[in-house]
Amino acid sequence: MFTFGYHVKRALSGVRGRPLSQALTLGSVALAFVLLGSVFLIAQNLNRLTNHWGSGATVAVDLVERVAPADAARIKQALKETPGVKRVAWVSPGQAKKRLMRSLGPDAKVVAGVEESFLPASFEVTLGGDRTTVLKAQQRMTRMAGVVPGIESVRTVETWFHRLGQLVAGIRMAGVALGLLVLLACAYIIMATIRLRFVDRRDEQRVMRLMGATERFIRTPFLLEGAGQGLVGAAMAISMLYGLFLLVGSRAESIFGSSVTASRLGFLPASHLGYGLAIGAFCGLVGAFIATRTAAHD
Amino acid sequence: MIRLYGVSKGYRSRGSVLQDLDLHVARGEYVILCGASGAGKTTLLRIITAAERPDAGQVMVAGRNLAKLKRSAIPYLRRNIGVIFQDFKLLRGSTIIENVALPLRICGIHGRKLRDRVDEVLELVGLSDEPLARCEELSGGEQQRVALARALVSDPVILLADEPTGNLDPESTAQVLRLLELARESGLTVVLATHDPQVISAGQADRVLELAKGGFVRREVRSGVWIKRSLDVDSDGAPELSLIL
Repeated sequence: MFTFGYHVKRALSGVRGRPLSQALTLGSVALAFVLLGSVFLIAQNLNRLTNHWGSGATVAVDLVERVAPADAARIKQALKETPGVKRVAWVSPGQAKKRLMRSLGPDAKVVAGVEESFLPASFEVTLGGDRTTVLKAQQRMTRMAGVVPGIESVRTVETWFHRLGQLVAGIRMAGVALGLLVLLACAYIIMATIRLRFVDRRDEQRVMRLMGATERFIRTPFLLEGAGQGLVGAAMAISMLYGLFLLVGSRAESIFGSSVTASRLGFLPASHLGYGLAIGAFCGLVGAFIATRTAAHD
Repeated sequence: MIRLYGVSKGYRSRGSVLQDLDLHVARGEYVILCGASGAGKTTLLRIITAAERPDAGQVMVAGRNLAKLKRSAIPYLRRNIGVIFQDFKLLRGSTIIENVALPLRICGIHGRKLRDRVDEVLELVGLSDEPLARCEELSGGEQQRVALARALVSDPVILLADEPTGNLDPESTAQVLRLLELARESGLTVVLATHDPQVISAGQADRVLELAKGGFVRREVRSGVWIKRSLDVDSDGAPELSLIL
């Protein structure tokens, strides 16, 4: 514990000795993390904004001609038991025709002479919950077509939902890929800085080795310095990202329209921020570890 | 305490520096290694501290065969050896206390024990007045006394001094030599490498060995103490003893 305090002191004295190089390193690390954080923040808010878009969506489950009442009752029960289903309403062929005519407006007379039985009876299913629940409910109902007796077809907006989900997942994947690149870049930046400082103090290390210092004793302050750089860089990035978030949030409505208000946007959760700080520190530690290991063997 | 058997060492750029060298330094002995620059004095000291490996021969330091010593064990061997240099090699930007305390920190000593021991050693070398002074602010003689305090603070059994007076005026040289004599009187084994005639003629050492052309060309015994100590402590040191007698 006491030795650890001494190492921290040595690491801090190293930081004070090279303020410009420290500032450049921290700035670079912070910018890299801002870039990474932005991608995750966009993905998160896109997900948040679109998450309820599926709530209230309807699915039409068309029944076969002259469906048996027992089958219709069984289908209705199965639909009600499907997770994400809020309401199941019977739509008779007559009601279906009226709706069609209403939707056609002035052109309604085209179907005025058509028999009522021309349109199938159906169940109108109203969905609720988040996007994933709604998507799963639609997929389940689609699978029922042709399998459950009495169902002719199922009309959903599943494709559109699927694409939206894919878009959010794609942004997340891009974030992860970018994250790996950023981590590598940060580790490299810190490695280069620590390596320079390690080489700069080589004479001192030689003396320490002659006094019986182990490699761990010599390298620990540099490892702490690297971890500290990563941690502080990540913390700076979080502050910058939050400032950016507030700025964009205050103008969200004018930029994106009335559907995106500041109150509907959210910053990264505390757990993500914690991971960010830990990843920053880990990156710095890895960079410093490689720097001191390679420099010590040169 | 230190034994070298048939030690040879050479460098690509300089050729052979040490050739089939035998040396036996007894516990508590004070030996001066002299010789011109490039004679191999520093190389010999570096071999003793395991900073260099000999091309041939065996080296025993404080009872340990360096050839059989694992790399990870070398730091622990070195904690028994205090070293001072011509250019002091103090930590830049650090205070006297920080420099002197370093070997204790390396050994994991801290707190009151560390402070007491540092105070004690600074008192010994006459630097207890301004312990917080930065080393760059000190004279050459004072810096060398800091280096000496640093070498002695962890109670080593061997003290190696590589041209310790090379950058000092005569007065500071005399001070440093007095302190080395004190260290020897406390039972420390001292090996001092120098080409400074003032140091060689100071008459403190038990033996003066002159290195040239890879070997000892002159062995001068100044004190019967060494022979007595060798017989007392290392009765198996017969080959070296007979050579000198």
